[in-house]
Amino acid sequence: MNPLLVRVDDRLVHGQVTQGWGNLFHPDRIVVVNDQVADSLWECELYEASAPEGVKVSVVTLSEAPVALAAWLEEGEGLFILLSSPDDALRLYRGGFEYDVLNVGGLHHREGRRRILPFLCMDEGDENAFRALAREGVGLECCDVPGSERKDLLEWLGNGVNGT
Amino acid sequence: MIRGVVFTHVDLGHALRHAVEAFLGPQEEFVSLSNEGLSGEQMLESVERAVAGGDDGSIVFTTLFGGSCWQTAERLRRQQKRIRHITGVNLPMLLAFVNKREKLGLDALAEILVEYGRKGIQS
Repeated sequence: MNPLLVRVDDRLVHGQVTQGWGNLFHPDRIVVVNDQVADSLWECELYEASAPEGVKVSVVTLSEAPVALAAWLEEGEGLFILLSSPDDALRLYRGGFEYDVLNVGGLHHREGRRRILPFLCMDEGDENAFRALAREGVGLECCDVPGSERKDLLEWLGNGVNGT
Repeated sequence: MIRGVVFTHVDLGHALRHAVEAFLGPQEEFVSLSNEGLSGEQMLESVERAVAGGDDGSIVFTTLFGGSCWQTAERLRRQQKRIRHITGVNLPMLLAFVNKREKLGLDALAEILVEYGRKGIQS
């Protein structure tokens, strides 16, 4: 069984995810794959409290993720998988949890990043991680909320995906 | 004077503040912020700036339990003593905030505003 949504979004669990995508796909569990959050009990509690009633939230580290995710999927759970950066998305993929499509839902501005879309800013490191995922055959779909226009990130990555 | 910071999505906070001021006139120590286009870090910085220098403390109002503004306000509340956070803000709650904030302390005000907000929901 495939996860319902694999999403890169630096806000992790928030309204677009729980309300927007949640009301479309009704996940059983939202999984935050993030080493820093997993390291802080308080942050874990914050994200656990963010979930709508009836939806479980789990926080796992990148190294725990492949086994944990496979087990939940095996149980038949509908999963949302949230990553805060393209780098983490790539590390998850290379760590052994392969997925077909990555929803690119939100990378916000910080120094060195250029804005591509209202909800998407990237620097070179982000672009390289996305390129590496594209080379693995992962579809990169830019879409912040259901129903908004879906754009293929390859439009902006173009060079360097095939070949170099 | 206790400061009010309405921190929410798109234009909602600004609209709520404008509505309060349409009833009660222009207000000091009462600001609205949007999270639009901001990262988690930028949201936190933005609310930190909004409460800075509020010597009598601040109440941060958010709209959506579990949303990014709610999370940010919870982070701030954890860092700073003179912050209270109420989510589920509505117009009756904000009108009561402006009317009562000079008569009550921070804790009592936060408590009573939750009641005013709840009383504003009827069917």
